[in-house]
Amino acid sequence: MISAVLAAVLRSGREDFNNRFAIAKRTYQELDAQIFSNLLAECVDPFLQAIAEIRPDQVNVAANAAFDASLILIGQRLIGFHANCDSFGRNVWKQILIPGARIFADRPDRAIASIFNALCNLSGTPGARAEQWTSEVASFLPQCNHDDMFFAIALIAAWRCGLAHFRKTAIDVADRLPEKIVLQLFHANDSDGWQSVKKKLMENPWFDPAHPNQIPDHVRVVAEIGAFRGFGGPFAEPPLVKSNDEDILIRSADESWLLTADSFGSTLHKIPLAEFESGKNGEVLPKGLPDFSAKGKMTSFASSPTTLALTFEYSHRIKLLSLV
Amino acid sequence: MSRLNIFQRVSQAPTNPHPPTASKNFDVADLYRGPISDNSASSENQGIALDEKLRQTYFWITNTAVISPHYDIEYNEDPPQVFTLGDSRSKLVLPSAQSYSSFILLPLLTFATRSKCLFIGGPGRGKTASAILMGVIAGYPVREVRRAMQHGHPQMTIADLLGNPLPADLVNAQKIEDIRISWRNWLGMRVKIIDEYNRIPTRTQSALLTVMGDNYAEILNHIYECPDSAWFLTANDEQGGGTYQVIEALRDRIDVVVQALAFNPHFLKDLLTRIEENIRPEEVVPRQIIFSEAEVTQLQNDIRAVSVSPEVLSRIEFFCSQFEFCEVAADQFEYKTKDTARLASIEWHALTAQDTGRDRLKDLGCQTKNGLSVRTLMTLLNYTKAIAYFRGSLEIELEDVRQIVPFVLHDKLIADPDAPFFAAPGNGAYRTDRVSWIRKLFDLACAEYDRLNLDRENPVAELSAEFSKGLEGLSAADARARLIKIERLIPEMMKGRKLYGNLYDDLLKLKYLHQRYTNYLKWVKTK
Repeated sequence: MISAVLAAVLRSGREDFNNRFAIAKRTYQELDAQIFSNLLAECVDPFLQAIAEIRPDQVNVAANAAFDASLILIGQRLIGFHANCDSFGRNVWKQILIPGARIFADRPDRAIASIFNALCNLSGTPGARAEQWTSEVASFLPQCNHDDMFFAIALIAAWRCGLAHFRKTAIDVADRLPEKIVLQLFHANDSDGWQSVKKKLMENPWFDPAHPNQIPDHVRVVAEIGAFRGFGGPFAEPPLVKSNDEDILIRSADESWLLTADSFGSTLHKIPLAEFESGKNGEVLPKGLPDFSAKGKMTSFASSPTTLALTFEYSHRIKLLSLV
Repeated sequence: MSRLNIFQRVSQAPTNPHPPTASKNFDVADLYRGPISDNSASSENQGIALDEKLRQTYFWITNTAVISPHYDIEYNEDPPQVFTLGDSRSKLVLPSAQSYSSFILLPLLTFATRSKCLFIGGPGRGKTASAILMGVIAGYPVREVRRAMQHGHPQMTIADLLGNPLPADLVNAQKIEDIRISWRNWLGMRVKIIDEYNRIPTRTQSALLTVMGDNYAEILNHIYECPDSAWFLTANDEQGGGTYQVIEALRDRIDVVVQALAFNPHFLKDLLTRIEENIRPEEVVPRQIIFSEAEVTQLQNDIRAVSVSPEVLSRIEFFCSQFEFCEVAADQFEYKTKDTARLASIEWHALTAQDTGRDRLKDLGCQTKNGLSVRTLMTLLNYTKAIAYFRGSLEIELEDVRQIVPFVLHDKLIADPDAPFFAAPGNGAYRTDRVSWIRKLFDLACAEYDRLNLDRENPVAELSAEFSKGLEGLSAADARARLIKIERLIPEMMKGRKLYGNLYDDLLKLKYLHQRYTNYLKWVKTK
């Protein structure tokens, strides 16, 4: 049973909504009308009711945005009955959009598009933690007084949930947020102060403000990234690494990537092979490395200012060691 | 009520055929970009690069708006698969890289460069529909685009085209300056559409020529300066016939010619969907692919910034130099051109009958009745840059030239159907397939370029490069030495060889250099 708000919207644009569904059904043949209706009733309706209380003039905008987003998400099986995203999808409505209606009411279409796109990006990135992101950003909703503030928090949360390539951007954004919120985001002690935490984050990508004292003074393995493509990883062959002084570059078969990695996660970004070929091999291994003899012969190593990457002949995984 | 959103889906998948250089500074907007369109944001706010937006526009048109499943602009990364089929040994090529439909791409490039595109083809093939789409992409409402479209017809007057003086002013004015003109709205638009331009009477064509050529309209001494715009013209008869012959100057203003290709009945289902859903693509163009005026201006600037390497430029020069030369047209060396003969109204067959001993099969110039104008050369460079930009390159590749040149020269290079080339086995189709013929010309020119080893041994290019360093500080002795070098090079170049188009242009260049050094030497001696 839907509310009068949703009923009114659907009634006024009945033909158009029906046409849109019909066309979407042609594109996404597994689009299930029942699942779609359930989503409208269960998630979109409460959101529209919340919007109607704050900005009645934005109800139509919100309804159209929600309708079209749901068609794409269900049609592409990103939510609804795709196993990975089913709970995420509904949680986004119930934990973020509906409770956050007061800050999203001015631009509900932007909120819907941005939040679901962020969710898709997180879900689509191996190793990223979309569920954690959803619950973290939801917990900060009461402290947000504007949607821009929410999106800034969401960006930092996305970085902390595994989108390592947003590191620099997120740190810049954190400067513009209240210190208390930023420290909460990082689970840092209040006594530390954001500037102190920020300095450590900038100097050491393997620094985790939640565990500030866990900084050993020796070279240590901090992460293993990648896997064989047959097991869902990116590498068809055991990879090789080089560096361009700032970043680690990876090659496997005829593909190459730039690696971004830190204590919160790692991501790979496609680059032209020529860029990998122009990178440099490591010259000297640091002393005090752990014993990797069981991994077989080391096939390559390369380092950035903070991280050493090692590859081995029998492994599709890359070991990352902290140099700081 | 908002438009049907499925038609407004713009490809979010990367459209750039090259793997991008990974940006070290990842944009905040990347997190919030994905399969859901944010209709509240303009493209500037969404941080989409203009070349990516242009590609998104292309793919939206091909996937949603115009059913054109043709890939006649073929790019290959690896050797393509080629199938030889049928009695006439027709070739079906499966390109190995991203390829494009000329019917969609060329109008889009015309839009981006604010040039002029002529659609040709039989009636009902989507020529006008494509032109209207370009108007909508420029940000004009569909209704305004349709109303502003000029429809050629035999009774079209200059007033119909440009506007009218206000009747009250005509009566009351004491001088011509007091007459106000009610100009037609379309003159101020940045996408101008002329439908069936070959049905416009000749007198009115002249008025159109002023607008197309000089970008202004004139009535009773009053001038309307038109903004820079992209022009889209349609014609049913590619020979420019129809009701009126199109004046040559007007035809020459057109930059590219695109043929509307035949509809493939395998895509009838898509047509059926259009009918059943009552959807017109031009009415559901997504906001994300609407270009503002500033964006189109920026596109032009970005396209202009695409570079041309000396090697590619040299091949373009070599190709273009094949056609103008006509040895028997004059006595004065500079006048030995087809244009000289044409101006003298000499019959073409009278010219070709005069045997100069050249290999008429090998000589590319023998295949054409004319050469290339400066305007055409500029258009060729502009469009080549545009297609390279569209493909995400900062520099033109030779293949870009090869793909664009047939559409730029389509109406500019006039074939001599009696040339021996067309009578050779397997070449008959080039009499009718102008695009393939021009591409073949380009390939043959490149092959000849390679045979002459001009990438490595090009004395004229070396002398030009030496000259381009400037004459500042050049001593009289050095100038004299350069003069002698030129004077020695000329007989060496001509040793036992017939005079062909490229040699002719080389010799003219040498004469130019010689003259510049001669003048310089004279000046240095007076100091």
